[in-house]
Amino acid sequence: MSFFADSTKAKHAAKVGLAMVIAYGLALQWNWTNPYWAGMAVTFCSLTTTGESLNKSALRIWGTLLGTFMAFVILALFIQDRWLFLCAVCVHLAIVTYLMTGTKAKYLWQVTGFVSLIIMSGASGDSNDIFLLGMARMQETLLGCIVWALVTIFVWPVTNQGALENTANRLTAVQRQLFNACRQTCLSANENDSSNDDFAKLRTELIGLLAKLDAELIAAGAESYAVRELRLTWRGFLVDSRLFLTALDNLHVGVDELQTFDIRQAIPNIDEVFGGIDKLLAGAESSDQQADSVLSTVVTAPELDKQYLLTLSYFDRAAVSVLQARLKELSVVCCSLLSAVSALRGDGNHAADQGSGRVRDKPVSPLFVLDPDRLRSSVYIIAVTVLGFLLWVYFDPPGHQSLWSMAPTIGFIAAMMPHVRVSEPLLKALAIYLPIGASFYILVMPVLSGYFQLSVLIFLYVFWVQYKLKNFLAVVAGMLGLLNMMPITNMQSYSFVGVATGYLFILLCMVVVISCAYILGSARPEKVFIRLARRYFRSASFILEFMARPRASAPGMLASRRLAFHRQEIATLPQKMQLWGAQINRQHFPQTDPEKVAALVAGLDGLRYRLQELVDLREQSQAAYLVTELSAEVKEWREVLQRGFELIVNGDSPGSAAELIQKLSNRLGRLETHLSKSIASDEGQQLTAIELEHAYRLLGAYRGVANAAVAWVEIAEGVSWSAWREECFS
Amino acid sequence: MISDMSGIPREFALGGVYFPPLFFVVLLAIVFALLTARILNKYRLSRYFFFPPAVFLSLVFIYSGFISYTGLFGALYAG
Repeated sequence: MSFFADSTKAKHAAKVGLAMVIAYGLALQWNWTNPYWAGMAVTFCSLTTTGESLNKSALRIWGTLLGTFMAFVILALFIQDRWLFLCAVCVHLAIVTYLMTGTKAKYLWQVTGFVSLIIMSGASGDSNDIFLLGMARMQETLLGCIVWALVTIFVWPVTNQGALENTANRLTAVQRQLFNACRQTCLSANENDSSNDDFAKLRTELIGLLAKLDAELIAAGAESYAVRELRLTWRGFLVDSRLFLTALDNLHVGVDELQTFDIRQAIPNIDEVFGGIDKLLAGAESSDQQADSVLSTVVTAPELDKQYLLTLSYFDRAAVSVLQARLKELSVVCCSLLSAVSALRGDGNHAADQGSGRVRDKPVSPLFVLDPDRLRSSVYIIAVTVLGFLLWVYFDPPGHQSLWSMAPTIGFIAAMMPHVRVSEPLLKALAIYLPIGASFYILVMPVLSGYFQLSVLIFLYVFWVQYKLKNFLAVVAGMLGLLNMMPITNMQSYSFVGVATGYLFILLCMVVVISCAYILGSARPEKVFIRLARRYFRSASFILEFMARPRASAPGMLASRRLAFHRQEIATLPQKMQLWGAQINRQHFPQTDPEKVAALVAGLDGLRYRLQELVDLREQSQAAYLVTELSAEVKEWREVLQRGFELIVNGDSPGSAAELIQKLSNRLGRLETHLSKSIASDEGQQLTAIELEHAYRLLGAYRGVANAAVAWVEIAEGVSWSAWREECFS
Repeated sequence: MISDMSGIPREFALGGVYFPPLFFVVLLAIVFALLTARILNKYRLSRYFFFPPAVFLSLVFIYSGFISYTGLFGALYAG
């Protein structure tokens, strides 16, 4: 039996232990202050693959540089007045936290935040000391990063490139499976539940693979010249994969509207169209096929049977028109995807520029829109900092001025992952790892002689933490035991008072961090889920109200900003709700079905696509005659839906799904009748084909929103909202 | 509180390390508060509270006072 069941993990643990020993050894040899800073750099940069580690090390170095600079600036300007100083620190941390909770270079901003805090709180007031402290931090961070980089490159190196290619291959395979699941749902006469389940599972896997590819691309780009050379093509592949998912989601969301007519009669060549797209995806998936030959095959465009369409209702005609547009969109995206794959494989179609073109074409949002959840994180960090600062000024507890720097540093982890219960690993750190570290410090270290013996202790402790503990937070908690409870300096001394004070200091920091989580409302997952759902429907209601504005008048700047804000809300809230929904405690709420919660989130995603489609279609030119004729009916329909949304926002039930269906069906029926009469009139006969098509599609979009809302209410009826609203101890 | 015959609180010594009596009183109070919270959750009585985290904190203070006043910890520590 092998002692180390997982040799990869054992090798990684040994590498981290070795790097830690070397970093500490060099820092002590050169008599640098606070050698544990080098150890911290090793801990936080020690990711599994070389590329990931190098990338993280680079971010840490840049973050340290920026944090040191900001600390110098704030100290230089505000050191004379403690309250102005606190205000400046709060503004700095608010900005850093807002950037840290975004999607780009999160770690860089996190490092900027806590490094600036360490230097500002460690400063003695003398400018020379402040400068030396900043430089010491830079030095030790560089030392730790360089030591880890050298160890990870030369000792059992693990590269990312193989992982990147495996992920890309798996991605193309899942894309094809997802497309075929969607195709089956579209073409089957009756609703096929199992293919819907397959679609949901494959979609979740695809989203995970996209995130993984993004991270691996950064890591492999850091270590491999070959990947860096083709980085724009890789980026193009990633962008195309995301567009593919969006196009497929749009197609899948509209499947319900295809059930009331025969799709093969409406689009006679639909099987060829689907077959053509499948061929493109097969070309991307399989390296055996030459991409050139696949790309040269023209994908059949979907053709409509106009005679059959005349027998359908206007909404069904709209559904067919939308399906045709979506199939065309999907074909274009798949062609682009295959081109990117062939360029990456070097199949002779060296279209590396295509990737760059698509990446450059990425639309830039014209309006900067604030995210309320990121702002909330900023307010949270400000609260932690202010509370720590006030405690220091008025009570001077153990830890002294480090309280207002350590508490926000721990708070950053909570701010970046608000849905994760950071109290658990923190409490484990307090209960297990800190006492272990303190025990080593008091009982073992005094009997050690020389750095060699100390290095054995450091290596064994780090190896145990890295090998045994499962996730990143647990490893950080474990390493706190070494870094905080076992201070190592050249002039070593041992004091229980120091250890006890350090323990109480960490405990107080955790109390501050956990208490402040409750300032802005409950942090319980089910309460947050309800709050996010209300925000979603508030935004949906606003978007519907925005549709009511007169078409002739262009929206003002405020209205545009509000629309952009609410569009961002409905785009981002489902993903946040998914994270929170997964944290709902099933012990407290045994009647909560995780699949229902996932279905709720998927329903909101579907509603989002419909609302976005509605907004986009409304911007297209519409026949003024039809707009005038139908405005009253559309307004009534919209008001029913808005009332339903507002009831959800206010925490009331929107009535049963059956009631909502009845109300909406009546109004949609009247809308269709009115449309028929309008088109049949003298003025209606003069409408062009394009104007008619736009009108169908807009009405189809209205119906799509209604159907998505009803579907959500049907799912919501099966969820125990009243149990979630009840208070309980966590 | 733990006291000798004169009623003045004194520290605990464990392995030569002195702990204030309030430390163990608060620890015990937290344990009692956790048990109370579990019971309240089990019988859904916690739904009547507006802000359970504040209630939990209050329970800790109440139990600390109760344990100190009744000398309960002294009885447990006897011997």
